[in-house]
Amino acid sequence: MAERPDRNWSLWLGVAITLAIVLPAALSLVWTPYPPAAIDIKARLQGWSQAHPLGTDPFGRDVLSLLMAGARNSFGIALGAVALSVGIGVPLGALAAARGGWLDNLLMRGSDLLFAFPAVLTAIMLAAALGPSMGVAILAIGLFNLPVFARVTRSAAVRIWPRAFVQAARLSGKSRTRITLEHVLPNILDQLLVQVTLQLALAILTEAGLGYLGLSVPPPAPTLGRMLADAQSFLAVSPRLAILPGLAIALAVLGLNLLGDGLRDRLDPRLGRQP
Amino acid sequence: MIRLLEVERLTVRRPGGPPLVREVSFQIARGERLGIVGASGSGKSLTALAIAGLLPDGLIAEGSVRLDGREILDLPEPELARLRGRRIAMVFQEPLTALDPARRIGRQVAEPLAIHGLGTQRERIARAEAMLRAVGLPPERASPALFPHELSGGQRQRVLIAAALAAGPDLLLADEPTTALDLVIQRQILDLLDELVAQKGLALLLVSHDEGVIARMCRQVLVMAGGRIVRSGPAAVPSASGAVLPLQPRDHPGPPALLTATGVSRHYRLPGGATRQAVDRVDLTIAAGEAVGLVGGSGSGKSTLVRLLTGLEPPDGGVVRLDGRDPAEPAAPRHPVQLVFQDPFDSLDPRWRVGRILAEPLHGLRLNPAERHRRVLAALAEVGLPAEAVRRHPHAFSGGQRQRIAIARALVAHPRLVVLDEPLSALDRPLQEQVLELLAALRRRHGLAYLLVSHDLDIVRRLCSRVLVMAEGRIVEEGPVGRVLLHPASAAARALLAARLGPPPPVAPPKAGDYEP
Repeated sequence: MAERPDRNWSLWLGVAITLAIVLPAALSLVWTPYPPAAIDIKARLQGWSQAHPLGTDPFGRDVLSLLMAGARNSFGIALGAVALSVGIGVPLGALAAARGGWLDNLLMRGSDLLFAFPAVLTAIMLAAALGPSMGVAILAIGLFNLPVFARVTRSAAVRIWPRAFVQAARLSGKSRTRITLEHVLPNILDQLLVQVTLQLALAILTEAGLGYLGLSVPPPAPTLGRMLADAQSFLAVSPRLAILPGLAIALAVLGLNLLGDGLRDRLDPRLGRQP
Repeated sequence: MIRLLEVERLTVRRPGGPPLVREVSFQIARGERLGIVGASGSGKSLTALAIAGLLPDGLIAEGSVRLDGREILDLPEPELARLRGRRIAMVFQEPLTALDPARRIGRQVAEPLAIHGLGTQRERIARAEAMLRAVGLPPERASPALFPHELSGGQRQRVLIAAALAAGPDLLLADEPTTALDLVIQRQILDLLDELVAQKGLALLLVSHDEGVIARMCRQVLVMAGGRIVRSGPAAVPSASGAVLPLQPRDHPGPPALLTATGVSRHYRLPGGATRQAVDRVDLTIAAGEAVGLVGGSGSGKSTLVRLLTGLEPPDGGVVRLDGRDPAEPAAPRHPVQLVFQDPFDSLDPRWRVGRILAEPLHGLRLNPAERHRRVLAALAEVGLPAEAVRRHPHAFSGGQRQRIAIARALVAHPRLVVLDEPLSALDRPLQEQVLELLAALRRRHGLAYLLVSHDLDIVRRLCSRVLVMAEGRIVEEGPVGRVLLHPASAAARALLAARLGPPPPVAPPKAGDYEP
């Protein structure tokens, strides 16, 4: 494989940054220095210390524990949302490509319609109707991402269908569904994978926005977005409280974007073949 | 009266095996010409080789071959060698391989004289120069000091003819002397042979698969099929309709039609509401075991017709029947027809291993895994690839190897018709030759019917007996390859022939969109 070392740093840096966020978040499932919701008013707004490496918040909660649990919630929502949009968007896109004709038109116009609603607006509507919860956040962000995957899948798949190896499969009598599963999807997996990482980054950003507005997971469960919102009142006293979750969001998005770009460079034939 | 060459009940076989040439008898007098025409594997080349005592190892000849009344079939090799070149000369198909690449052409032409000890060194050189001049290669055009690689294909064939005739033989055996050449050069070489044979009063035995070539040269023709002479008589200028040659040895004359199309049409809607009639009321029939060429310029509707005939697309008018069934019907069993695509970089799924690719047409045949594997390995062996290829991905193979894999995939389900859609145009010349030979051999072995789609008439001529010419969605001409090539009736066929004179089309580079995962 033609490698381009000058560009490949992006992939590895992306992997490193993403892991630096994901590993502590995953660790919070089994262990955090303090229970993230444990309030200790006597220890409120402390700076760096042995006991609280990243200090405490206005309620005396351990910021490191909050960040770990918050990142876990943010990642969880983003993963759930992307899984939802992949799970529905990819089959719809593949179906549109396989069938063509009026069904293709219907599905793609439908996805255009969905695309027209901004995620935040959708979430506010949904949260107003259903009350804020993790499920609503996943649904709102997932619906927003769905047309992206439907379109990417369709446009990649329609380029695979006319290829000779697909026609050979048709001559062997295989159904369109089977050809989609066996030939089309494996050949567009690269492009979907790149899209998944980029959309994960976008979903984290959207989730932070929803959390900031109080439309994501309800308290006391921490999210990076609400930590940012809570820190606003103490910006002058303790800017650390805003900087840390902000940094976590920025790093997560940066890491995933670098990862996505690196993957694309590595997998995209048009970029990868150039000397 | 003794004829120059008398062949009586000549039979060629492997010891104990079935005869490949069966009791063939004919005679040629001095100055007479006789053509033998037949498909590949009909025994025509073996007949010529047996006369020259040049049968491949392991084949034996029985019967009688007499030159001037003298039995030569059982002569010991040294005596035969004395006859070859001196009395019997041969011109073979491959001007590329029949010349010694390391020797100057003048010496090669003089070689038969040296072998037979004729003349002095100086006389031989003079004779070689005269011979080269006689075949249209005067020193100012092609010096005797040139090496074969400095000559074109047609010029090399001229050198071979000069060498064959240098020692003044009485009998010339020409086995497909123009098959490797393009049409224009073919004409020149045939004219040259015609002139030389007439001038020197030679007897000529001309072997070809191409009736047109024979008709151009000989008045008498023998038609061979399955090792026998099935017809003998005056060489007819090929008739306009139907295949004249029996293609495979067959017990029943008139094989049943494998594929028929009646009034097949297909149009496409263009942006802006206009329609384009891509295929317009096409009728055609392909018999079992027949090789038919489909030629036409780009945009003539060839590719659409192929999609309709294989059932990849339904026609919007007319009927296609393959083995009595509609190939576009969803339940139609697909295995009777397979396609070999133009671009081997596009026709194999880059994500699949070769073993899985080859097993794909077996889908729906309900074979157990062991049988499936056996069929895959057999197909690989047929195209000359090693069994370990099944574990590798397509990107591990070259273009020629990939096309072999694509051919193996077409064979694995034991189809009766293989549609070859420009199967050679993505390959370079030497590879084309190899794949062409492979295709011819496979057809012989399995009695396959071919529909060969091409814009290259020379390739069609090598593989097919009958050709359809397509233009603007219709079949505008149909007939034996030899006739269509030498006497094209339609404007489309003439245009294709005229295009032959141009430089060869550039070989398509591998697509940029193709990559190695």
